[in-house]
Amino acid sequence: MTETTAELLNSRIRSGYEHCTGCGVCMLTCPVWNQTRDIMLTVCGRARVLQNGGAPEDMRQSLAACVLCGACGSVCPAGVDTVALTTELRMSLADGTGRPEAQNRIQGKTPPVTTAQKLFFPGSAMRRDENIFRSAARLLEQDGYILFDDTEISAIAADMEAGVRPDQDRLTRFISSMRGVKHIIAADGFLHRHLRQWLPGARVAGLGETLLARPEVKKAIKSTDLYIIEPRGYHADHSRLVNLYDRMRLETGCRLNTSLQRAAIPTGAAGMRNRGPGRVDPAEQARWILHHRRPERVVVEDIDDMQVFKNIPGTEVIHIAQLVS
Amino acid sequence: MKGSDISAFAAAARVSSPAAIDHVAPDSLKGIPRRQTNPARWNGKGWNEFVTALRARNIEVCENRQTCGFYSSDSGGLAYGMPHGITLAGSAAQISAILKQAQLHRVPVTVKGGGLTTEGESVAFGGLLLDMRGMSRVISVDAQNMTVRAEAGVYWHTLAEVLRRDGLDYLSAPLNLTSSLGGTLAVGGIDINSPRLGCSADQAVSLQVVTPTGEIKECSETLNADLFERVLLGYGQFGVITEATMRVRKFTPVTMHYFYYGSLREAMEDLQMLVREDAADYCGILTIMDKAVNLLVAFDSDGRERAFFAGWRKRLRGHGELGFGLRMAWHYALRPWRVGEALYLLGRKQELEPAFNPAHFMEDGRIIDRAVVFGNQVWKFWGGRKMVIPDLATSADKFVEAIERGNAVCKKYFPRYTLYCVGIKLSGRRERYEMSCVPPDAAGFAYGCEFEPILGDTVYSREYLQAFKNEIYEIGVEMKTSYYRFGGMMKGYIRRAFGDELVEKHLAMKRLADPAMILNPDVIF
Ligand SMILES: Cc1cc2nc3c(=O)[nH]c(=O)nc-3n(C[C@H](O)[C@H](O)[C@H](O)COP(=O)(O)OP(=O)(O)OC[C@H]3O[C@@H](n4cnc5c(N)ncnc54)[C@H](O)[C@@H]3O)c2cc1C
Ligand code: SF4
Ligand code: SF4
Repeated sequence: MTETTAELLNSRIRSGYEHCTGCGVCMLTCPVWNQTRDIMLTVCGRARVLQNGGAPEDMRQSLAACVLCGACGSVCPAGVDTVALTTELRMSLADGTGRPEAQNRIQGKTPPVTTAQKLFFPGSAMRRDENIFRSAARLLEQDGYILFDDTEISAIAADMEAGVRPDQDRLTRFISSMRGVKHIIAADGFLHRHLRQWLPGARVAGLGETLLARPEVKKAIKSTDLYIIEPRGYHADHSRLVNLYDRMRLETGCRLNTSLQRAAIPTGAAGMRNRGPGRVDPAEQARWILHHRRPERVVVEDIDDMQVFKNIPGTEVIHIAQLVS
Repeated sequence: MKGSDISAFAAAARVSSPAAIDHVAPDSLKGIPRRQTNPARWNGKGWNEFVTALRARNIEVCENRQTCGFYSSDSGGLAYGMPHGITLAGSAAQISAILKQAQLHRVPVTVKGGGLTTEGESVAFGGLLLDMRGMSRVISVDAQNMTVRAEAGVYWHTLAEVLRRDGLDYLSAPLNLTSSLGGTLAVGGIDINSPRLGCSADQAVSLQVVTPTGEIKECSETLNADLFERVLLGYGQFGVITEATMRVRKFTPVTMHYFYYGSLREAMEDLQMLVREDAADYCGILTIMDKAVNLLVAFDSDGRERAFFAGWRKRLRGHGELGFGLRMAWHYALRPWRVGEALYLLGRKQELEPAFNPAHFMEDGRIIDRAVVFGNQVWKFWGGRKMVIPDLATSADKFVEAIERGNAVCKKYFPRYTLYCVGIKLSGRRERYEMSCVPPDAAGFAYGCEFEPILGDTVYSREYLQAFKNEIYEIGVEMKTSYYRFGGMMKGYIRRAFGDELVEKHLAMKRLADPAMILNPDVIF
């Protein structure tokens, strides 16, 4: 058995693709489907190719198209772990599907062993926006969160997203350094599912969810706002968060970027951060989110979504961390 | 085969025992003749010339084996056929060019929307498969005239997403999220509001159709009315629907009530009473077992709900949850050897109840997006890689008898199954109803029932499942009813149920409209 086959076998066990019925419910929330109408580029297509005995190589284009937003997984009636399926298949390709220059380009610092119990991982995108980064860190400090140098784990995440299997030693070093951690706030939703798997003792939450727990932040959200949930973290813990955000909607009167299935409609911008442009045009997604809606303001959780909405004329955009600064 | 024989056959055929009987042996379907439905299949002739002609017109044909393999079955998962190539629908002009070339080269073209058929009606046994989902745009919403114009490949769910931004909703659609507008207009489209609003096909205002010879025509009740009547409920025989204008309504959250019955007959009679008297906005029957029958009643407005409770509730013989629970407890207390059955009922109820009332879809006791909730749960609890859902569509008079007979067939073959029954309001006498899922003797209302075994993890042979379906379809032949699943693997029953004269009449119309018989050749004729 080649290594690739062994890995694929592993992914089959984990994703449950064999239970896929082909119902197509996942496509309804998929930005790739929304923009291409090509079923072979969706997780429904990938699962069927595998069921028919196909190999990852047969779906290279399809694997590259996915922005790993996770919307499909949160609605799948058969419980297929669609994100696991796609990431594992990407890693099973000999060279991943990310552009070569995107792979392994950041080698973060080996994290020091931390004794803190509450950590904030701002992620590479947020670090680039000094103002928002500082606002978020300041708010979280008030709740006892320590800002953590997460460049190493961000680099590992970027690699994984691009289809590079993480180096076991690097990963082990990271996990050992986190032993005492009880709470992690990670701005990059892609990390949530992995952090939960690697650090089962820690409670992992998104930045939006955490800030919304502060009364003054929630109060600052207006009924005329359109609130853009960060989709990757939301879908990674959908059954819990769907109720949390629904309550927030009812309390504030704002609108959400959710579909009728209560999946968060993604712009897909985060999926391009490490891999460059693909089949999903974030601007088109944003236009669909705004279709027949006239919000006075768009509030975003994900820094990658800020620019997408700012590019749409006449739209005022603010990050959740700026609401009370 | 006697009842007891077939039960033994049923037990043996569940492949839990590898020493089970041989399902493909010539005598394995005793009393159920095998049918060769299409002895003269197209053999691939003309394909290369056809594809070359299409490519010369910039029409893409994908011949990749993985892609073709993806399209090799439908939701039933029992009929398999490999198309030679796939084209994603792009425009009426493109489809027109395809059909003109198909006539010239005599290459079959099978049209697929959501592909939610279960008898292989949307499976291409060779030739070109035209995936209509490439045409999925919602073109315009006319809130003044309460209509929407959309391309025919759009999923009902996508249509609902767009309409909702204007506070609107479609009228009726199948409860599965991923059927397409065009595919549904071609077969019917039954919702739990169909007792009031009829089927989706009757809610079409006008259509754009590409005829089998490639003409692009607009049609409605007043323009090209013949074509309109042929294409609605036409199973894709008389043209490809490329756009449709549909009636819409204001979106409303819904209040639901469930009444429980120990008798299937009583539940069916009560359902018919509610349908006849227009007592509810939505109603239907869903069984857990034939002694645990659920009559669902729902309302768009407080007024209608109040009127129901003032006038009709007391006439229903069903119980509320508590009353029924006590009766069942008493029933099983007297029959302790049936504890397994009682536990199944309890378990199923505990699974289904929260799934059908999820907190994030409820507001002020009303369910928002009932179609999403129901559609998802249908897949979750009844979906699978193989789906066996034979059905019967009957007139009011034959409903109870047909369903009781179908229920007895289910019981012979499967330990657990669900019946789903609804009424369908007919809109007068329409040509489109002839030789369709609407039974010939139905007036005012028709009734439909799906018989759906819960296959679970048990592996049944294809022959076993087919034998079950055939027995249900035989009831239709004997009682002269119709079927909702109409064609594909069960097309042999169409001739038997409707008679040669009617089938020959439609075949002659088909030959006239489609001289080379290339459009959806494996569905009906
Ligand atoms: C889980 C499940 C639940 C279901 N629930 C319901 C329900 O509640 N109510 C109900 O009514 N049905 C129900 N059905 C049946 C199914 O919804 C219908 O068969 C469906 O509406 C067909 O739509 P489709 O887009 O899937 O069509 P397809 O399966 O793709 O096609 C159906 C037929 O129409 C033809 N066709 C497709 N598109 C076009 C077009 N544009 N122009 C002309 N012909 C076309 C095809 O060739 C085929 O013969 C269910 C099926 C499943 C599997
Ligand atoms: S929703 Fe799930 S079961 Fe349905 S097609 Fe998608 S992955 Fe498969
Ligand atoms: S993760 Fe997102 S982009 Fe990828 S298949 Fe699922 S819905 Fe589509």
